[in-house]
Amino acid sequence: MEVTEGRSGSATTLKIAGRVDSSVAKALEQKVLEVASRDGAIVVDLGGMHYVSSAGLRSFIILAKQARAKNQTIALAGMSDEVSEIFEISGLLELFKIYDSVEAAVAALPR
Amino acid sequence: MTTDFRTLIRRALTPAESRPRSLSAWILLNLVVLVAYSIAGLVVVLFGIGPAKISPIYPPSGIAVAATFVFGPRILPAVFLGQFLNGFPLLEDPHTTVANYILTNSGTGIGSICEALIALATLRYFARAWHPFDRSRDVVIFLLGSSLAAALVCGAIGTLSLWANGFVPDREVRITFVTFFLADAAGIAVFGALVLAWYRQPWPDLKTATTSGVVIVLVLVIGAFEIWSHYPVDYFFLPLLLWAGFRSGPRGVTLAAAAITVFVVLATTRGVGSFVGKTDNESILLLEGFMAVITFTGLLTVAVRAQQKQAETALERHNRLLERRVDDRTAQIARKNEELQIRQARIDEDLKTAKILQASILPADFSSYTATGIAASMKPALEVGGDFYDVFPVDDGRLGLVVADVSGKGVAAAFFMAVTRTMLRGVALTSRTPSECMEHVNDSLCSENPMEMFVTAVYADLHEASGLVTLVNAGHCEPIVARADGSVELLRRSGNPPLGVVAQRSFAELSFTLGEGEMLFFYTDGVTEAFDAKGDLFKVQRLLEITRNSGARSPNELMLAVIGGVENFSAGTLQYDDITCLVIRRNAVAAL
Repeated sequence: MEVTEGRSGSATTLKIAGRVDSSVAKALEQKVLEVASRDGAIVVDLGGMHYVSSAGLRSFIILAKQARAKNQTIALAGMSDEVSEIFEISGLLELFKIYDSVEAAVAALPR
Repeated sequence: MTTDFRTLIRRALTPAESRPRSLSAWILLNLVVLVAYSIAGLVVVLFGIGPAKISPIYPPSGIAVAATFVFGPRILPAVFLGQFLNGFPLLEDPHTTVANYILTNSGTGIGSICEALIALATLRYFARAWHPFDRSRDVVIFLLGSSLAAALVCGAIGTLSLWANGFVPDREVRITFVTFFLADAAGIAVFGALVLAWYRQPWPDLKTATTSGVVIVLVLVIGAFEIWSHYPVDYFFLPLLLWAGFRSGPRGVTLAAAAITVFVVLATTRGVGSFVGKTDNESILLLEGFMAVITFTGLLTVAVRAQQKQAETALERHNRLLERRVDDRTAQIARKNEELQIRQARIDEDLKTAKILQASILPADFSSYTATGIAASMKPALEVGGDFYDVFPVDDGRLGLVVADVSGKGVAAAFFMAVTRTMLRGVALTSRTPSECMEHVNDSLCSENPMEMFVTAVYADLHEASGLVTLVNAGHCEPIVARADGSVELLRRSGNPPLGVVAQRSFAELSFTLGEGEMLFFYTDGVTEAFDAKGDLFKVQRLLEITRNSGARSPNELMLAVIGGVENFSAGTLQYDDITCLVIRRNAVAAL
């Protein structure tokens, strides 16, 4: 797994690539809590994430819950169909705004 | 009256910076210095060499410099007067008049004042310590500045006033100046140093007194030997000088130098010793050279040694300080450690209690269930876990089955787990369907959740007679059905989020029938996400392999096979997550 934090406009972007499972869940959870502490919208770029396990999904739930508690917009972008399906059957798609790409997500953010 | 007089003397003679100001003390002090100066001046007569009775050393200049250094310039009147009075030998000169007598002696008096002032100023300006003998650098300043440079000026002024008044013929001006200058310099270096070394606090102790006694006796012995044998053995004095210095510091050195000087000068006046030259002037110069060497060598050696000792003492003091600090810090750390241990012990105790409590709310005895075979286990990664399972009768012929995994780990998870388990069991008994039960629990967890925690859970309702299972999976791992024909089925998730994430939400159900002898296997992701030493996951595929063809196994056998499989797989790694299994087997009617 590789996690890169960046900025796009007023939004914080978080690029998560590779395999996300129990062996990296702890590191991801820490990173996610750090990003959730920032102000402004959060766009998570999942274009490079090809596998997410149930332990990995926990980090996304934490991120969604933290963002919602602070009234932050949180969007997922560039998910593959497989990953999207995992999110769907796990009941997590409804926690996020979903976009095809980071650009689309940033463009859709309220000004 | 007597007391006043004593106080006056004490105040007048107190050395160093503390100088009480009072007119009577000032007069008394000047009188004392005048007497000392005059006595030193009279001694000079004994040192006179040859028919001209010229002394190679002039002790009064040492008295003047030392007194000025110790008491300050306020004793300068005594120096002037003393020098004036010391000019009495001029009375014997046939062409002395009242006028030139007064003029000449005033001139040498002014020379002595200049000498004392230059000596004092040089020391005050250049020397770092108050006393000139504590540091080797200050010793050099004392000998070159306060002794040589000061005497040079005094010699010039004195010679000038003697020549100007006609007491020195033109051809003797040069030799008079050299003798005057060197005698004063030697007087300061030998007798000035003597007074400075001895007239300071702390006052001499017994050891110094012993050294002094031995020095004087040995000087007399060596001197007596020299006089008796007529061998020039003056170099014997050098070891004596150094010994005195090593034993008693500047006091030993200055006393030895003075004693040696007195002896060699007296011996030379009688034509004995190494310093008797072809002419009187040569003798005088040889003596002065010798005096310069012994004072310089002696004082410098002592100062170097004193500095060395100071450095050693300072080092030792620092070491002691450092050691004490280390000791203090070690004690502090030990105290902190003890406190931490006590605190840790309390936490350990609490965790142990929590572990026992947690274990006690997980059912372990399933012997009362006859229609259904049950096996269950929860193995926490830390002392307490966030996983749980539950089995309870809902009503006649129906069993509630739960496996859940609380987000996070440790005490917070354990606490949330206990809350969820109690709530779920309570709500299940009053709900008509599993989805109603889960919706109710979800709303409760959403509304009272300060730590933003959540639970993935499967709640299944088993109708024991028919084998009908109604199941709600809230974001949890997919349970496995082991069919009678040996095949296995994964019960797909149906899009329900975990409990405590989205409020006011409906939860989808799943129904199927469990045949006789068929098993239902629930687990948490501690099983499928256990990893091996290479970081590979256990995964659902391995779990399906193990559960396949389980027709002949009891629930306990299947559970042990799974747990054993996970343990083998992740051997050598630290258990990352809680590992929980719940296995249900619908017993065959014949077994009833």
